[in-house]
Amino acid sequence: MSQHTRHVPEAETTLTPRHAAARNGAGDTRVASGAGGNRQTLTEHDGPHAMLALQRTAGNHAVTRLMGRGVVQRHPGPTANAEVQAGDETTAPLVEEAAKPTATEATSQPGTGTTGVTGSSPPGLTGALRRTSIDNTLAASATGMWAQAIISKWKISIDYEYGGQGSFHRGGKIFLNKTLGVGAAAITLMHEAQHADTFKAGKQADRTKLGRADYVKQSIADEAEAVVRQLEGFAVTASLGGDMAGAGVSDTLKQRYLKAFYAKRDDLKTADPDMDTAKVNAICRTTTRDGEVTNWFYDGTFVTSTDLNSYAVFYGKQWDEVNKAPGK
Amino acid sequence: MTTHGPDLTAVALAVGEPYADQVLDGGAEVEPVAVAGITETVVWRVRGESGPHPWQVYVGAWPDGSVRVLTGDQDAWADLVGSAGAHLASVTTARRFVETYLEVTRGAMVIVRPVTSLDDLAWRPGSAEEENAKAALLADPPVTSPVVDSSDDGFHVELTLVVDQRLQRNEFDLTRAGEITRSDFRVLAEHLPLPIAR
Repeated sequence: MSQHTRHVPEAETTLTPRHAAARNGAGDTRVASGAGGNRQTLTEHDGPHAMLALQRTAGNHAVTRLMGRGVVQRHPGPTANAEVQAGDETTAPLVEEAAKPTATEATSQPGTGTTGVTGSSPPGLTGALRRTSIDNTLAASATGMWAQAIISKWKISIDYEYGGQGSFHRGGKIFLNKTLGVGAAAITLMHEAQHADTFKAGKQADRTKLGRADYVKQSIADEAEAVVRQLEGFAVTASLGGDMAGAGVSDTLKQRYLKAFYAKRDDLKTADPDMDTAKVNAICRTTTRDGEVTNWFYDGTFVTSTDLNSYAVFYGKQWDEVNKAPGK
Repeated sequence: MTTHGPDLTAVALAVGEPYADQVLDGGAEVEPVAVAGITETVVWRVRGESGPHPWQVYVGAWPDGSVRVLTGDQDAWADLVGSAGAHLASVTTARRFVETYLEVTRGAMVIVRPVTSLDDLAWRPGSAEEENAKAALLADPPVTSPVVDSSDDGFHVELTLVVDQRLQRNEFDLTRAGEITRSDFRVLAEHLPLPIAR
């Protein structure tokens, strides 16, 4: 299987307001594409291919709303949704969310408990308010501010309410699942900003150019750095009280990280009690990232959501797929 | 069993961007999924493995040709089974039906795995808290073996599941037509040093 990434161009799509659709007759949903007024019209007669094209440019979320509830105004660029929901971005509060119980429940609970987080959290937090709450959460931590700088530097598009499966970076765009609470979304953004930075800088591991071992190592190195970013932003973000379910990191992982970090710190301080604290921290971060955290991608701590393989196995299979001998 | 593929455009539309292109250009695998008790192939696994993380969704193909995502959507599963028609003739079929239901409707990033013994658990290194939870579980192991009872009305199924970092006991009542009339679960242990899906 070949590498297939798609960059969704920015400043590409504008949806016309409802009155434009109404003016063109019932059943027609009109879409203006391109800042220069290069308009296309989508009707229900255009069929699934037109829908797919619209999903590519406008995003699934916008299309779902477009088809289900009529047309909304949309600015060019990232899926900001500010034009959909009324709200003051500069004054919108950081929403405090109710903490979830953590104690084991011995009693029966309805359902299966297997579908994961569902629904926006808290309910109804959408559009500009959701975006602003996530931005405010990012601004509370150094790592969050780093992520914001990366997003600004590369003009990264973000879908804050991705309606598909999971959250991820793909081709210079970040998709944040709509089911994530504000805290988890902020932590996820820190992770995906790392991948977006690597992608935009042209430093992504290339399985067509690297040897197998180097490809696996480089792929995992970027993942490990992204996880460290999350762990560094975890404490401050969690302290804000936002829902952290689905963040991908947890307090127990943070404990494992700190245990390795402090062990290295103690070694350094023993060897050189006068070593500069900033230098100690930098060495400890690198050592823990390249040791403890990297191991998580080999030892079964982190596995793929599809077949539960370690990422060392997954990336190795990816390399094999591209580099297998012809005819095999 | 019929295994001709579903309309890929309909699958792509259901999956949505940014993955729809992979469905259409062959970059994603679309594989049939057998559902015990249903003769026709009505469930398909759509999986892409070219990116930094693999992705996967299950989709259902309705008799009218429509395709919907089943991942994380138990209501859609129930509708599909009702539309396609199921017949669960034995306890073995009933158990396999429930296991497929759990896999197909699990959240995309949620690990769901039936186990029959604590020996099936894939331990990983854990924090102190996680290792304590593991020790407590192993010191007082719960019943993990599956139970399937048959009656005139249908079946009662009990399974032990790994769900992310917890172990739980799930119970189901279902009819012979595959309608799940009751489901609930008890958490047996949590915060265990078990794999984390990313």
